Formats: sequence, structure tokens, C-alpha cells
Amino acid sequence: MKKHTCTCPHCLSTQQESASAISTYCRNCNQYYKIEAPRKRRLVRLPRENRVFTCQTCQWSCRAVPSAISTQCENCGIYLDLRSYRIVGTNGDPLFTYGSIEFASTCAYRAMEAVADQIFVAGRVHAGLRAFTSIELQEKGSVRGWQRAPLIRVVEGASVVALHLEADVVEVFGMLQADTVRARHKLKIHAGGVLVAREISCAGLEVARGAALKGQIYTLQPDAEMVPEPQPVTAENIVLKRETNESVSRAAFFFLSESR
Amino acid sequence: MFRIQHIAPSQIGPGLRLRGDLSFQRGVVIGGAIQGTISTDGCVQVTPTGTVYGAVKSDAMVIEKGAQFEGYVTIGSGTGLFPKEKGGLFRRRHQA
Repeated sequence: MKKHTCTCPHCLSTQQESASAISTYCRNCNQYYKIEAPRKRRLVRLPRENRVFTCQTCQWSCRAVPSAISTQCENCGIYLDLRSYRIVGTNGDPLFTYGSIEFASTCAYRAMEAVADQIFVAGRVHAGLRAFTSIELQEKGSVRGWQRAPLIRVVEGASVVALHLEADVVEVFGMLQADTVRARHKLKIHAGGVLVAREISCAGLEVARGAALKGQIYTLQPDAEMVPEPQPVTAENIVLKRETNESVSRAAFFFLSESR
Repeated sequence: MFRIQHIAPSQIGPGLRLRGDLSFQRGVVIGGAIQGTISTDGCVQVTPTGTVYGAVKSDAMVIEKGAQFEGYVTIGSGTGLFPKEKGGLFRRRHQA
């Protein structure tokens, strides 16, 4: 235990006391006195803030300690994976996590879909990617599949090939070659960035001097909604589709009969 | 001695409609409607009241929210940043 020397204000004798002591009795005159020596404040580790995320099933805002690797939704009780993955070799496991996924430059990932909070792509990915926060396309990243996230960023020095990108904001610092790009709010190409796409649709566009862009551009209305996600085929969906088809055919029949 | 240069971009105000191939020096700010190709060595800025249907060739470009644009865009062709084309990445190969 750490000790320090304190002096009695009555008889001026000195004695050793614990560093955490705030008062003591003098061993010489037996008088009580407060220890006024400057004590170093003990470093206390502050509790880290809880991690807040939204359950994608019921849109409930959940909380978990930062070190948690899984939890259950507080509202619907569904299992939530909070781990972060790093894919290095050949892999095809379906991934759905509230952590991050990093596709390393040596990886070859092939699956239907990978979903995460943040996705970093530096390798070859043959899958659809969906992120709740952002997708970052890094050097030599190649994605043959659709990508959907609020923010998609192509970092400086990257040379990326992607198929279909859909985001609120797309930022290009490196080189991006894509088939279609859809930016709901803004498409930004910074100086040194290159975008070559067959079709680009965006609400706003910013191409800095020193950047390059080539492609057919269509402007979206600012409130345009994102393309709805593909729904799994279920019996309910099939019934709904049948109903809508019938209603359409009825409407067409009515229109034709009216026109005749 | 110094020379006064006209460095401000050309402006096409709201309500003005132009049709044809247009060429501007030091950029253009479009608030009206243009149908045709635009080429400039500056920046093409389309304001929320602007409408452009046609191809654009320039060094920089800004399309503000609410503006309408439809056309093929080539920006920064002089930068040499474009990748060398080998028939296109996503185009089908012609069958012999």
C-alpha cells in the first residue's frame, strides 16, 4: 500500500500514513488531526456507454454492453448477433450481424446476402451486401451483387468493380466502375475520384474539379423512396400477388369495355 | 498593370428556354431549361429551377436538389483518370 509522510500540527512530529487516509491520531501527542497533504486523485475507469442499435425485425431501439457478442431484442425477443467478422479465405456462410464484416483482400466470398452494421470490402465478393450504417469499398475490392446502405464510400486509391449500388449518399474518392448507381440524396465525386457507370440516378450531384464521371444520369425527386427490398417467397406474398393481378386485369377489362 | 477578366460563369435564368448545342466559357449556371448538348471548360451548375435534357461535357458539375436532368455526362475527360475500355465491363460480348 502506498504511504506518505504527514506532520502533526500540534507537536510537529512526523509519521507514515496510508495514502488514502483523510485523518489520524498523532502517535506522539495522541491528538486527532486531518491530513491535508495533497493526494493524487485515483484514476477511475468510467463505465463505457452502452451500444445502441435498432432491431431490424421490429425496429425497436435495443441496448447492450459494448463487450456483448449477442443479445435478444428487448421487444420481440429475436436473437441478435453482435459479433464482428473478418473473412479471409474462401467462404460462403450466410452472415447477418449487428457488428461489422471485413472482407479481407485475400477473401473470396460467395453467398446470397451478407448483412451487417458496417461492411468493409477489400476482396472478391459475389453476394448482395446490406449495411445499416455504411459500406466501404477498399483497394481491389470487387462486388458482384447489389449493395444497399445509407452511406457507400469508395476510398482513395481503391479500384472497385460493383454491380448495383443503392444508398442515401455515395462518396467516391477512388475509382468505381458500376452498372447502376442510385443515390437517394447525393452523389459526391471528390478530386481524384472516378465513376464510370451505365446508369446513374441521384437527387443531387457534386463532381469536383479534377474528378471524372461518365454515364447516363437521371435525377430523382428528393423524396424518392428506395427500391423495396426483395421479399422472401411465402404463401401470403403469392396470394397478394394473385389478388393484385386480378385487380389489374379487372381494371383493364373495365377500361376496355368503357372505351368500346 | 493588370487586366480585368470576366471570370464569372454564364447564367441562364429561370424562364429562359434554349434548344440546341451550346458551348460556354468558364462554366454555366442553369436556372432555365435547356434541350441539347452543353460543353464548357468550367463547371455546369443546375439550380433547383433548372431543367436539362441532353449530353454534358465539362470539367466539373453540380446538380442541386430539385433540378431535373437527363442525359449522358462526361466530366474530366482531360484528366486521364478514366480506365482503358475493353468493350465495357457489363456489356455482353458480341458473338462471332
